[in-house]
Amino acid sequence: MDNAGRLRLPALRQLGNNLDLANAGQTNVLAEYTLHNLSDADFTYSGPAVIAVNAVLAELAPQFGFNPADPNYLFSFRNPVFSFLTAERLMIIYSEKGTEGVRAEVVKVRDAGAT
Amino acid sequence: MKFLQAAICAGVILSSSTAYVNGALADDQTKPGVGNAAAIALAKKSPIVESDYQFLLSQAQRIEDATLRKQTLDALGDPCIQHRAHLTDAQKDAIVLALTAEGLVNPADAASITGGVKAGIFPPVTNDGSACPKLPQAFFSAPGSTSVNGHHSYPGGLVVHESNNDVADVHLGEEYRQIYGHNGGKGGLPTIPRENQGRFSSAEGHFDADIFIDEDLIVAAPLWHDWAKPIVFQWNANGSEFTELNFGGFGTADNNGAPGDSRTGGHHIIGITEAMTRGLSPAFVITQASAHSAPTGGNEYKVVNWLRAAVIIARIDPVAKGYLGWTMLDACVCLRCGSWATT
Repeated sequence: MDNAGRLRLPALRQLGNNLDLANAGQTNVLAEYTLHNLSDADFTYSGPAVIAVNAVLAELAPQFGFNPADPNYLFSFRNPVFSFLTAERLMIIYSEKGTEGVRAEVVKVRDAGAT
Repeated sequence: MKFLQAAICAGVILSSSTAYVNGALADDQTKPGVGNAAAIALAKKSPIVESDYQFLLSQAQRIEDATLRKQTLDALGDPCIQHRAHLTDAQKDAIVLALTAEGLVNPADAASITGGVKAGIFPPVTNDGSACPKLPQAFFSAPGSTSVNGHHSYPGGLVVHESNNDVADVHLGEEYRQIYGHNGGKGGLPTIPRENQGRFSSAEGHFDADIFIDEDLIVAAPLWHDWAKPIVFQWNANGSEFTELNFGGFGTADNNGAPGDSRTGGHHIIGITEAMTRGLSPAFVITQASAHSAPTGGNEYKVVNWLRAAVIIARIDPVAKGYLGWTMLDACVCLRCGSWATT
């Protein structure tokens, strides 16, 4: 605990060598903590990619014999497409080639027998 | 911890609530997901999911620390869920009570979950309460997040997400070594090595640096940080996912009584719990816990609260285990000071 009675992160390695960072208003932080945090930041593109490609796939689905309103739509079409292609790949392709580019990718999944 | 012990003895049972999502009765989250088998079958057929899963296993093999390597490979396979081993219903109730009393869960956040807070913190697993509870689905069939609009929200999305994270973390470590870790300038002053200029993505890495960044932590933390997603993000019959309970705070005054919201996805805290239960080091566990927020910029309380929640679930003493609480003064009077120099 620090002088204010608060639980704090421990002084690992030599962080507590000559200074008491926690009681000096600082945090005992290792570089690996922040690097790991940065490495988990892919959601900033991956989340929007899923949402956008969901819409693209809903538009394309009838061409492949699926109805987005069908209760089985997720497991029969949407999920296989994402599991085989990923949202990020499809969003990047959509950004460059539009719906036709995504359709060509989905054809690969259909031909693989996954939808 | 005294309160936790008392709560366990009391064995108070908290009631669960019926859950409705978007006006419809949600799948029962007290039972394994009906769609788990379909998700496993789909993920098995996907080349990218299969290759990403193998990549994660190969990364785990790179870990030099024998304990961390062994535990990581076990956790990514078909593990016994160690924090759930021999855990009784009464103990679960007591843990929920302790988390609530500590302000580390807000029961209102479980309103949409069938089974309530208890189901959110203890999602159904196979052989629950036995010596070897099992994941309710394969590690490689779990998604990367909840809902159809979340990142990597499809069977196998977890291993795709973690592969990207692991490559990113390794590159970030190399970046720091390259920019801050060479003393080749005049008088031993730091520079970017001349031989690396113009090829910043050199594959051989920068392990000749004179600064220490623990590659085991770099490689292993992304493999562990979402370990609990196969438990939390189970598959409903229609291909949607279980609802995740956010906890690790109450949402109002979580910063040691000051305004703050440290609630986060339950998978994060459950994964930390498992790492603690397996005895992984403080440096590793805190690195893992920093995935959802670095403990800098006034956010240390968040990481601390997630560690606090995890130790309650794991039923361990955080200070004795070294996960929380030591300051320089403590360390100076501690007979185990030598352990702090290691990770």
